[in-house]
Amino acid sequence: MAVVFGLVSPDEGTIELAGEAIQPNGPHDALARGVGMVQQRFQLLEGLTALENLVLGREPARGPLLDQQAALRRAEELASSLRIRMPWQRPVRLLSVGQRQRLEILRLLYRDASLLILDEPTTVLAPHEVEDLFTVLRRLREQGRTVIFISHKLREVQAIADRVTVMRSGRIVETLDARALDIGRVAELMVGDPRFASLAIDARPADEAAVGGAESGRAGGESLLRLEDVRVRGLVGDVALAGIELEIAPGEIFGVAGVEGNGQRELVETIVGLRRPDSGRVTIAGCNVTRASVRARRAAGLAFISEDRDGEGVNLDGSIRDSLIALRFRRSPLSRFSVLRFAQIRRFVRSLMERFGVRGAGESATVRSLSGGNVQRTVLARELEGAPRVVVAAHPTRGVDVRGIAFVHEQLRAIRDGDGAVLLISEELDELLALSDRLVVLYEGRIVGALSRADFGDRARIGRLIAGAETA
Amino acid sequence: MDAPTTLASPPESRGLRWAIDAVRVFAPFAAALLVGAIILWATGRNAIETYRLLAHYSLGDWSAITNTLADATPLMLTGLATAFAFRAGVFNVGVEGSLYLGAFAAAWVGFTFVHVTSIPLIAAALALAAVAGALVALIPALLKVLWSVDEVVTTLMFNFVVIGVTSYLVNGPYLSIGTANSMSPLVANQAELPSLSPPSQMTAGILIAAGTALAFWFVYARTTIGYELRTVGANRRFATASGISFGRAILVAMVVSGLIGGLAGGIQILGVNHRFIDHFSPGYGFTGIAVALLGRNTALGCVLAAIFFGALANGGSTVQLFTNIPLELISVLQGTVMIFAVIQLGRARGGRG
Repeated sequence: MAVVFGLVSPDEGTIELAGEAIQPNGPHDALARGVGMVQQRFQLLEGLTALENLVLGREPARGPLLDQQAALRRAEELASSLRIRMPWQRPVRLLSVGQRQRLEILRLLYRDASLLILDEPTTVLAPHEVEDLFTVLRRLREQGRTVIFISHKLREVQAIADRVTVMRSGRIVETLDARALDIGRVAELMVGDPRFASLAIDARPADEAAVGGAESGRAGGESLLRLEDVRVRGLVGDVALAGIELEIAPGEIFGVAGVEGNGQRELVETIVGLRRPDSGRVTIAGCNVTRASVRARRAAGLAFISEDRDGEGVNLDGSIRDSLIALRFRRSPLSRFSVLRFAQIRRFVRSLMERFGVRGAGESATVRSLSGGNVQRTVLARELEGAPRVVVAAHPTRGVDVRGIAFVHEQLRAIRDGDGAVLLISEELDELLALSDRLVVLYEGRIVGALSRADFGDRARIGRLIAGAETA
Repeated sequence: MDAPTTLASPPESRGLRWAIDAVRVFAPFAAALLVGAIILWATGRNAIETYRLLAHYSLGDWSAITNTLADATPLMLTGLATAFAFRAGVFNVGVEGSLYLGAFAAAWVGFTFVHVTSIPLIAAALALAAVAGALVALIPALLKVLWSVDEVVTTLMFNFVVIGVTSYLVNGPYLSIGTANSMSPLVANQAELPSLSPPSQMTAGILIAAGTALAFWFVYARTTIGYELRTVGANRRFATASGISFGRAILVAMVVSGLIGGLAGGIQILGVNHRFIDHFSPGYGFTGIAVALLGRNTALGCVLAAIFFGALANGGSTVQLFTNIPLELISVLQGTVMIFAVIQLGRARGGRG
């Protein structure tokens, strides 16, 4: 897709647009030809208003000044054609992710794009926002525009697409009609290995997912992670966490459902030690760690799979080796008397890469040279190799391909089966239902519902809890 | 310039990576010489002849080499001091301040304890110089760790505070009686660093600088604290989430940076000036920033960059005695090297394919 949008030049071959061979020379050129792309990382200027972002680069002018009225008129026209509401005068940094995405789409329309490419647009959206996005996409289709929707999520593809093309490692595997789509078959095509078809989580109804995890929460042992009345104030004085109580037993995967921005990040930071709660108590494996450093918590057996893989999970421009030894370098055998021992480090790193299947580059290459799936394997390798007691996994499969998802799930189950405790935070309900032994729903910093596996069948109720429409 | 990161398998062989690194290190020098040559030609001078003279007077014979190394010594240390902090992501631009207080401390030991024998006296003077330099860096470091005060502002401003204080000291309490300029008394004879090759001013200081470079390399490449520092420097959030203390890393980076800066001042006093003179430094600390940038914050890079600047300073001042080439042209060359060095630093960052 980067080729079509002109971000990358093809080594060979031609691109035809409406019967005409084109060779986009950068995004600017592609846009001039009616090809627009909404990239995974939005290309908006946070400090400018929605309106200014919309017209940026092609401002209606009155003399040297921006013609606000004309701009606003055109903006409203575009928005109403898609039946979208947009707070035009608000700076982009105050917009929700869904609003930003709609603004990106409007920007492309403002530039008269007839072919819109959306790269994984739903990964950043809450479930109800996905529905809104689909409505917008359907209206675009009615307007006669073409949309290329790139996604890992088969259910979404099935819901929105007319035709589906399966790609694997840069090749087109097959193009299918979406109306008679067999999701298992698509998953199979995506990974090229029939054994993984059943693991494509989106393709699997929740109640079938209860394989192996039936003995829900082998409680009885002392809890490994406990939060008591944890309260955290947000950045602007609002309440980020309002008295969270939770307790996870050994051998349990504990799911946290909810739309992002309802306190997930604060919850994770409070447990990992990146943030001090205003009140309350955090206990890991029997130790009160409320005021302890990250290092002390990790010594108590905490592992952390960050949702911000590139920014926090690895050192992107450092070597793979440097990202893998971050929890071990202080201890023997990797160092002695504060001096690193490279022979030992090499042995350790190679065995980890082998065990967790990190492929595509050698240990001295930068993490940046790895694919997203392999970066996540690097994170898992570092965090899970030492049999941690408590694993905080925040959106561990976000942006990971189907094969990678299966691997992540396998690893989390292995921690549970080894009597560890896993706190799994995800926006993928199917994932949570497939893995969790118990589940809570987080809404506006509160736990609004607690469910055990017996309640997992009632998706409608879980959906209402997530949307804040019902409190248990 | 950079190895394309979109390749399926990036260059693995050590040889190739070394070659790429070497090109990266030397490219700015080559490019600067080329631009300098164009300027020389444009002003009607023979560029090749000028460079030949420059090379001759800076590296042409033993005496030229020793003078170049003498000029390079303080730059090597201030460069290493700056790089030590930069590598950990702390922009300490206060090495000039550390250098001044270190210089005064060394001078004070040297002219106060005049009855102590040579080696202990020199050791004490340099040790106190290093501690004084570290103290100068400690305050901005604490401000940053405790209250997130931007270190660029505090370290830069602290330079003027410290230089002012030393200026007061040699104009007031420690003014040497009978001298016209504001300067301290001379240090005891036995406190002077011996010249390794008289009559040049290349003293034992160059050995200390080389030793410091070696220690710098060892710390960053081979020790756990070095790993912590470079991890914090490369990605603070990753470091913090892995349990590496940001505050500790900042403190260590700043204090060691200040130590080296103070040492630079002490060595300059004991080796060259033999007394503290008000405003004695022609900006060694600031040139150190250039040395660190050009040397890519590595030990070897700083040594080479310092020798390069030392050669320009030494060769340039001699060339101007014998030809009609103005010293300003040497400054042009220095500036050009810096520009190319920075261009290399901001190399394009490719995304993943």
